[in-house]
Amino acid sequence: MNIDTISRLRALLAAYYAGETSESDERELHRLLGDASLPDEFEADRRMISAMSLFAPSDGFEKRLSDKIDQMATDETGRRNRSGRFNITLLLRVAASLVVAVGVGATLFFHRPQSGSDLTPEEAYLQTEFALAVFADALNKGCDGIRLAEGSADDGVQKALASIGIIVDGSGIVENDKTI
Amino acid sequence: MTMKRIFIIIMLALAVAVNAHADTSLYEKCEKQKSLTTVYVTRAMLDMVVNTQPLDERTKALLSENIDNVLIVTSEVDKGIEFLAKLSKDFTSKNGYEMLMQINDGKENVNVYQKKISVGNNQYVVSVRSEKESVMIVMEGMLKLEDMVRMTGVMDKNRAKSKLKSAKPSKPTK
Repeated sequence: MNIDTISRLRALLAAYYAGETSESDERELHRLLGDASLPDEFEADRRMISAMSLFAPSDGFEKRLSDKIDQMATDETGRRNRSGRFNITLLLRVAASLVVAVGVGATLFFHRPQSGSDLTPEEAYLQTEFALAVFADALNKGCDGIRLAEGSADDGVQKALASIGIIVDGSGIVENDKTI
Repeated sequence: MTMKRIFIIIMLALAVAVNAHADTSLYEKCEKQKSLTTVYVTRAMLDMVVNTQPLDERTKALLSENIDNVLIVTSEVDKGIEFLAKLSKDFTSKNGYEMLMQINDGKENVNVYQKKISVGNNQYVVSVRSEKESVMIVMEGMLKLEDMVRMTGVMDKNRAKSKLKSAKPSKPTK
């Protein structure tokens, strides 16, 4: 083992103990520690690393880990996009609520309770009295119409009764006609 | 699905708004017409009348407890008479109106309509149309037809009209 190789071994050991070695670094470290010409000073390191390798992850661990991280990153991006879509939906809801609120508000504002005509109390009373009088006149006309109809009906009944009288008692013809 | 729900909510809100608008449109429709004389007496004004005018107890009770508002629309011009004739076509069962009375005596055509606004709260419309003049009275409040017959039995339209004309003779011209 030459000086360069020993220097390289020392650097790899330092990196190993610092936890900064990659999978290829560790493979190189194992190869160097397994060299038959390894100086005795590295014997303790060889045994230590040999023992540690029993707990080492299986081959391809780094790739699997990297893939897992990539997948997680992809999932996170997707979740963020979905979150963005949710925000758009929320935004639409808020916008729709605002439209409804503004619509109802505007309707109430522009159609607020009617203010009355510009009248004095005396004029208002005269107008109301006129309105009630028109109402009364209409109702009276209706009642007169009903009375007239009832009167006509009575006349009809009287005529019918007189007709019956003619049939039952022939002597009552003239009298019944006069009565009618 | 969410959009559908939002759409339904908006449509419902618009329906409510349109309905609210329809309730007030009768006064607004008439107010816009220059050929009509429109007088609207509010609840507040009726209270003021009761408090300031010398009235008998029966009239006070009628004005303060039974009537919410009164709309009086009159016209002596052709355009206004035609407008009121067209407007009376809106008083149909489809719009919630029930015809109580229709009298046609050759001189005048009188129609009385009723619309139930809520429990005990009614709107009465009296439409009197002749060749020379048209009058429409719209009255709202806790009014029953029998109350109206009892309370208005002694009133004389011509006397009330002459009193009104002597107080305020202005009318729109042709």
